[in-house]
Amino acid sequence: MSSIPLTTFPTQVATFEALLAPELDMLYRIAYRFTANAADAEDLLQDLLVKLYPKTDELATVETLRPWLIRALRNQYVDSVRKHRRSPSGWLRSVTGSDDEVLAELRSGDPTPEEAALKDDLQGRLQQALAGLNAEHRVVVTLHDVEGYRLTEIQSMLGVPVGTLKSRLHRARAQLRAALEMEPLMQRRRV
Amino acid sequence: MHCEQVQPLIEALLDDELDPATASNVHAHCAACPSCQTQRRDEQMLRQALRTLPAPVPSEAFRQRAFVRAAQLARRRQRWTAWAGTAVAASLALGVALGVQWRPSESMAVPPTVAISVDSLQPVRLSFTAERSLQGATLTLVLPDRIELAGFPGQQSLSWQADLKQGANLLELPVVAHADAQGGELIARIRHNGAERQVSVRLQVVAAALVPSTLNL
Repeated sequence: MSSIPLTTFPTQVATFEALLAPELDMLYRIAYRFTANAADAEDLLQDLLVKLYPKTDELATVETLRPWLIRALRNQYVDSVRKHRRSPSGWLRSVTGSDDEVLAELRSGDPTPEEAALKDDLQGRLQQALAGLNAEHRVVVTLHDVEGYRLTEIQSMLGVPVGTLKSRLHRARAQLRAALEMEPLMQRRRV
Repeated sequence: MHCEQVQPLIEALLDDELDPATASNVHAHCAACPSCQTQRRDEQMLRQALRTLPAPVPSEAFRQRAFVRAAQLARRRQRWTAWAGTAVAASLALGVALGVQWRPSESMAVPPTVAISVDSLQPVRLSFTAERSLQGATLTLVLPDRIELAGFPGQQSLSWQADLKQGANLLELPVVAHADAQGGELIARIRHNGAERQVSVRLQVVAAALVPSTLNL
């Protein structure tokens, strides 16, 4: 591993930020689709930035940064899911705030008002259905159906054959349809 | 074209992946076939809902700190790697700083009691307060007979590595009690660099209707 001289710290941070700041919203949005909540999206993106920082010089030479970054984010996400599967680490989370807020977290098992409201609309249910997909299915639905990338572009980004992507997309959509058909809105639509 | 030929092509049609002649034939069939028309409409609705999901943006606090924090953490990780060979002595001192408290009562003399119902998954929450962040702490849970954690059937004890952040860390355990469970003490231990803290909670198995708050997962 190459070392980072102390004197270059401010310069390197500025270069790093200049390269990635224009892509931060895009990366966060996709991270949010992958993880289905803001705290995990921030953690995923922060972990990615930590990994990318030592590669600042390499980033500066990448011709089209966006697909490169999306691939890195997807790899980071899939790695985090695999790590999570190997242990019950998802049971543990940090709680910020006063002692009262920590105690409130301990007491409350009910959904927050925001969570309750989410369940009442299609988008909320769709978010929940997306969260039920496995990692690879969620990746392809996010990139193709939500973000609007073509399968050939996703193939270039992820290095996954178009046939495999199509198959994942088909299965993922079938799962989403099955999840949504059980919901009241789909019943109302048929009236 | 027949329905059996058209239905597998509807996804490709909406993904704009059919040649013009085939697309035209699929459209013509759907116009005359209520079943295929419904399938095409369902597919379109799903795509529309996905395409119009709200686009969340990062918080201003995250936006402001993300890059500097990434640089600091990357440098710390690099230094940690470089000094890993000499870290053992320093970690002994760090172990002393491990502070774990049972939050609600602060008293370890009498474990608090939590009511759980049989055959339903429900959370039991413990909070640990760490005086500083603890990388690679070992968490161990020991469960009473016939009480399990979701995803780990038949295991009465479970250990894993975790990073505790400075401050409060909430451990939410998906507990399931079998019908013949008698209850008992759930013990949680945290070990880090030779130091160990333990908290326990008494699980009381009750009829479902008596449990005031459960999480439906």
